Amino acid sequence: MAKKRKLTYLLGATAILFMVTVLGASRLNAQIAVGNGKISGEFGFSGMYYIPDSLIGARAVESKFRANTFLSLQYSNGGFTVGARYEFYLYPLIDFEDIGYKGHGLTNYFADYRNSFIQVTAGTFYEQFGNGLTLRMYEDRQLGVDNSLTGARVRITPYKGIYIKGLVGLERNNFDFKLDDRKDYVRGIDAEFSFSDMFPVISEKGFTAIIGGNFVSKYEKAVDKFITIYPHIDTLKQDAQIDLPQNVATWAARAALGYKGFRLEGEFAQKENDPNESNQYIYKKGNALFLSATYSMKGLGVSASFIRADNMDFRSQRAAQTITSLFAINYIPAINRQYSYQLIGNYGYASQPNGQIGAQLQVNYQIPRKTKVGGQYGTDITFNFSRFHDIDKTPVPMTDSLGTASGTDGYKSKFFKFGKNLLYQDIGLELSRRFDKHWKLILAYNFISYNLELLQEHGKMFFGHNVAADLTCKINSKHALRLELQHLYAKEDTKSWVYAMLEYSISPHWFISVGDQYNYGNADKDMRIHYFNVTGAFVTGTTRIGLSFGKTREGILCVGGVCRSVPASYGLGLTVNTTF
Amino acid sequence: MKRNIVFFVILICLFWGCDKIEKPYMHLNDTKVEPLSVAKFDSIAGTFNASGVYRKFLFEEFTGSHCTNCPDGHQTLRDLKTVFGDTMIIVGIHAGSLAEPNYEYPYEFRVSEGLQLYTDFGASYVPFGVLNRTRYNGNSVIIPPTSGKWKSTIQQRDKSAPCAAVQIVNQYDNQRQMLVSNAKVTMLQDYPNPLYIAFYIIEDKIIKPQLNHGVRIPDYEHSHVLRGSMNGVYGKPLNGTGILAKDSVCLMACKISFYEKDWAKENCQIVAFIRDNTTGEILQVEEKDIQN
Repeated sequence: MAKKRKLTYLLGATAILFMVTVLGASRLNAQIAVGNGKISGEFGFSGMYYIPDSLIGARAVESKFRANTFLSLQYSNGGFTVGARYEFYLYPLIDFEDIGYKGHGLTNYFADYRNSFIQVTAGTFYEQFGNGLTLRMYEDRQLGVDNSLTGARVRITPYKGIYIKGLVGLERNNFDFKLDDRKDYVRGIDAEFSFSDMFPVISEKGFTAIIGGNFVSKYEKAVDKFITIYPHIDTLKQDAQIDLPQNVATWAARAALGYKGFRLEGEFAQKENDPNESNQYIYKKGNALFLSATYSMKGLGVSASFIRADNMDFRSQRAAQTITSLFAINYIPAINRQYSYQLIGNYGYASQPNGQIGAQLQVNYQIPRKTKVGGQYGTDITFNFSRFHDIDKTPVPMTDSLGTASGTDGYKSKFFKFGKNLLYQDIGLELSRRFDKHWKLILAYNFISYNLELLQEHGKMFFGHNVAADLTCKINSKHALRLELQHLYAKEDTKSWVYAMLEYSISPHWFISVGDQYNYGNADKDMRIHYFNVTGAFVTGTTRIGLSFGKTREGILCVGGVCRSVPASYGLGLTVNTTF
Repeated sequence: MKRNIVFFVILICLFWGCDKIEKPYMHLNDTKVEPLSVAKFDSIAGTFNASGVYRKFLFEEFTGSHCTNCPDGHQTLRDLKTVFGDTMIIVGIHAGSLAEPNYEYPYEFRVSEGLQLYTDFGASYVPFGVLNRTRYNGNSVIIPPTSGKWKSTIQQRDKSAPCAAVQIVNQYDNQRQMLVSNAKVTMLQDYPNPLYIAFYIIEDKIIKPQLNHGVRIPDYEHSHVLRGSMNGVYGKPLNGTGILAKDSVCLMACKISFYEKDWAKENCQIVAFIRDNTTGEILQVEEKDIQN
């Protein structure tokens, strides 16, 4: 019976794949008109045939071919939109199975109406208040994050420049659709006043001025929760029951001021007592501060930002595990520079909502074109520096005698004092120069300091020097060749790596690449492994079909400071994506 | 614009929801029990006479079984008790490194409530005393035992009229080995801050070893030893909120099991005290044997 059901699901997925491939091949890349309305959609298929490889730790999987598949459709007519998304992740890629993103069903469905005064949404939706310090419901398909809310939302614009949003809903729990059984929900309201929109005279003079604020509260039914006190004294060791708040509130206030190329913005958020799994059930209030200043003029851009987060992991369910973003209501942004370089990708910084303080500076400068130093097309220089520490923490005295922080205020923290532990530091310099119509070169150097122990729970401090070169040769209007070389020099963790990738593209339909990561510095000679990859893709209109074959190393994948672990894998991959 | 602001405020009120959990955040066991009615309480305790109420004080003595100087403190308290009589109520708390059981002093006198108080008071040694949890030196409540400081501090205590009267009725169920302790609080004055009531259980005549000036006394008699609290280290608010007007009456009750405990109920007393939750000061205290 189970085998028959499995076969049915696979046939279903294959049928959808075939249908969309045929549609893609027939260049169905425009929205479909239905009466006065139109239908649009997106299809994605990402499959892989897994080959076990004990050397790299690629495990054998029972169902050898696995895939993530989804189809979303939207119909819109005037201000009215309805939509739905079906996801088939019953036998997902092993990365997703590892984080519990497994199942199938209608994961998103909504009806939405909007006019110039009001927008109402019923069903599933995404939303963000301010910078997300109190609420950010978002999706990142690559990470397997989908924190959509199912409920209702209202947005109103009562006056030009005044924007008010309110929402209630239950957060998505992967493929568990039993909403009636849930004992938690989220509600929130946000208001923003844009004076530059309200009074055109302000914007006409080059000023922007915005203030905003929001309140977000989650309800979760309290349960009997016991903690162990005096675990270190046998005669006193006992369970104690702690009182749990059923309603936990957060609030935030934000402001942004700008004049021409200069912009200053900040947001402060506070969370009331929220004992939960991530903070070991302490009752301390949480808070977060985000500040940012940017300045730009022709040829020069400077941005500096600061962030501090203290006990700000805020989830719909207090017992949620923190290894994934499941049930996360808010988002503490990572302000460090994000890279696409393969080798330092494994040392991507994961934002620490329960304790981080840090700053970032980035300067972009263009040496003017048609000068001796800048060359005919100019030369772009980017310098960036970011550094993050844990926060200063002085445990409250009770934690010593009780032998646990649970059931207490946990700790005290001086707001602007950096903690002793460096979490992450990046010093980077990048040069980008186009030499002529054919040749372009990007050179980059980064020095990364990464606290493996605190960020990945293994190892010690990692220091890596990464050098990257990206050389593109545009042979003619259709053909281009790109060579990427990277070298990561390190004495810690798996030590030094090199990476090379050659990509050939025939515009606009084809591209093929061959790449290899080689861990030449591994202390264990048997682990000096080549992780090769061959990739090819065909693109037509808004449809892309890709094939890949090769090995993926075990590590982490980070997007915007949110990370998940990636298991080692080896195999043949197929992807199909299309939008219409 | 004004209408928009009103609308926004109303929405905030609708959406705003937060439960503020007050300390203590944890409790060790279920101590909830329905208190006696006022009539029933009065029938057991007898007629209440407000004019006969005077302010008593709580003296918490921190000690340890292998603290060589602590017996001097015990003697000081015995002497003071003869001077101050029933005005003085003593609770002995074993805490600190000199209270940790070892080969020669294996009995565990320490209780979690006592350890928490020791930590909260910022202590690092024994013996010391605390009078009504009022400040002695700067922010510290700790009174060192030297040079008659316990006596002089007690003599200089706040002797203002009591803000409340506390009466206690204990009911011990022999079959279930369960004690229910009832306290009736009668407000004699208005009081601005929230008031909490705590029920402590103490025991006399515990014969266990004690170090005394370098000599191990195997059959030392330990008095007024704290056995635990019936409703948390700092108690619970009177009447739910802690705010009571003059002449109002509040009844509170707690229960505790004696099952599998080596406590001799005939030597045990209940100490109930009223605490200003804002300042931490103890305003009134009463003591009652479990078995009359």
